[in-house]
Amino acid sequence: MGAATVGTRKVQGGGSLQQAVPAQGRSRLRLGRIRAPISKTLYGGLAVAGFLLPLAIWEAISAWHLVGRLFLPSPADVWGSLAHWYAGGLLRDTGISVYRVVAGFVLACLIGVPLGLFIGAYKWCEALLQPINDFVRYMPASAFIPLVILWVGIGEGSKIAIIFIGVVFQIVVMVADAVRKLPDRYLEAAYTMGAREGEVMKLVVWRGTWPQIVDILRINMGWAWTYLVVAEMVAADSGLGFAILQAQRFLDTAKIFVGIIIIGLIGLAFDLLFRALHKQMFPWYRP
Amino acid sequence: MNAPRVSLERVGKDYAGHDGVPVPVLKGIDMTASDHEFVAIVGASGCGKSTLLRLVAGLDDVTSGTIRVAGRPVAGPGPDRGMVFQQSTLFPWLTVWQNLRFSRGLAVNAEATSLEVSQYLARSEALLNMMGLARVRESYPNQLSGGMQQRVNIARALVANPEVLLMDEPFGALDAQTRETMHDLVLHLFAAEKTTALFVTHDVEEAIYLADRVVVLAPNPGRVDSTHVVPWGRARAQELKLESAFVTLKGEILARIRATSAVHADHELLASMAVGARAQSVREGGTNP
Ligand SMILES: Nc1ncnc2c1ncn2[C@@H]1O[C@H](COP(=O)(O)OP(=O)(O)O)[C@@H](O)[C@H]1O
Ligand SMILES: [Mg+2]
Repeated sequence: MGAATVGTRKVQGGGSLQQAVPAQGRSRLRLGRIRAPISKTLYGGLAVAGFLLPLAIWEAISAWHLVGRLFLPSPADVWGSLAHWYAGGLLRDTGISVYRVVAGFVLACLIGVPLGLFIGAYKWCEALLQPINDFVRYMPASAFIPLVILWVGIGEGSKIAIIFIGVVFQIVVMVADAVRKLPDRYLEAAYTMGAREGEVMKLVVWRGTWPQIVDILRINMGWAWTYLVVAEMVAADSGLGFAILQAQRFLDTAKIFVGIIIIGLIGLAFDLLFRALHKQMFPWYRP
Repeated sequence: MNAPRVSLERVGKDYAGHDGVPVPVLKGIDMTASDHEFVAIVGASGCGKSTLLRLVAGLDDVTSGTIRVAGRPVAGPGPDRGMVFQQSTLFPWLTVWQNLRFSRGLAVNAEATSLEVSQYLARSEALLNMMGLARVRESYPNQLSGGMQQRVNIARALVANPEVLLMDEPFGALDAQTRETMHDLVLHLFAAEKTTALFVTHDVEEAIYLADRVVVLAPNPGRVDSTHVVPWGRARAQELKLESAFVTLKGEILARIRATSAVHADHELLASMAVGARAQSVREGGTNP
């Protein structure tokens, strides 16, 4: 997505560069040249091919029975399994998983973003909180699962807690970094115009790091899905992760495929949503 | 009001050195700027010009001495001193117009009367027009050229009507043509605004062309070397730069900068490089031109 926009922008700006290339070997040269622009059509075509090629290989492997169906179901099997699961509550499983991810993620944002802002802005907050945050950050979230079950039980709380633990410490450290990277000169300009500490915090630090924060949230949304599946595989009786684990018990490989693909698609959708939001909210932003 | 608009008395500034020993960067600086005076500060790179300006702005604290602006001792930054830096400090997330009005929304201006508010608006409009910015009013800073950005920076610093405008090499990053335009714009602006200014630059020609007085700083530690009065009124044109009196003054100031800086050592270095290059071209049988 990001690469696509860069690619199209360069096509407009790079006219002189293309003219400099001799006409006969043009396309070969262009593809071989580092960072050379390609047309929007070619970009889209290649993106589709990137999906179709593995699909074709997959279809070929199952059509020629190169691998047993237990290990690799055919695309048609997977499609059939999707239809079957859809009738048997796919939407409910998806809904509960999305709910868990969003709940854990929003909770982590509410705690992590303000903490990150303060750690990035005030040295004493950094000294107090950053070392301990870094320490906990390196403890694997999945290792907390037994502890969380012990403390929170196996209800909804435990899944949300795992996701929260998985991303909150990352959000803190990434937001703090973004704040520290805001150039001093913006703060100094605000001070010389008479801004007080609270105003600089709100009007400069917060406003100035908003685009980076939205990007940080996008990245952490992706990680939240990883922790969701881990949590649902260990302690759940519903959700996509649980369904995948159940399918493994019943050797329903096609359903495992469906579950993984669904999670990938939802993750992609959230990512695109965040990117669109970013573009809409920050027209002034130049990375 | 007989007191000067800006006064520095025995101002000194130390920075912590590598081994914790304080290194004096500025020492015993005495300097004044009277009402409506445009004072340029020149000196070799690293002699403490930026440090001096940051002290007046209140962005750094003095180690010794006192700085007064309009009679009040400086303690921290405030809206009575506008500042323009070499790099643009416009907030990228605000449009030109929003940047100009940024200070209006601050608590320091919250008690403004409605008359003051309407004056503030009128002033923002006037500055926008005077600086030729009306066209880019709704643009974001990233969409403007470097010269346009500095115009907005100057306008934004002047909106709150500061006692003194501090400028640290504001045109240092601009190309020569843009810079000349900016010079004439600044002359025009200051004729209309009558603001007091401290203007730091390493470009002696720029200093003379804009200022009523040029102060030369000597390095290690930074101190006032000499002060040169610029004898022309403020109605100036580019041709002035070619007049012999202008060229003579420029020569005098450059001579002071050279005499006080470490350029002596560089001259020796250049001389030794010339000898080395000659020896090498001889060894290579004159193939090197
Ligand atoms: N924050 C700082 N800490 C330590 N030394 C500094 C700091 N800022 C500036 N200096 C030193 O002070 C001297 C003067 O710097 P500066 O005022 O930027 O010079 P100028 O603007 O004349 O080029 C330089 O030698 C610089 O290394
Ligand atoms: Mg400097």
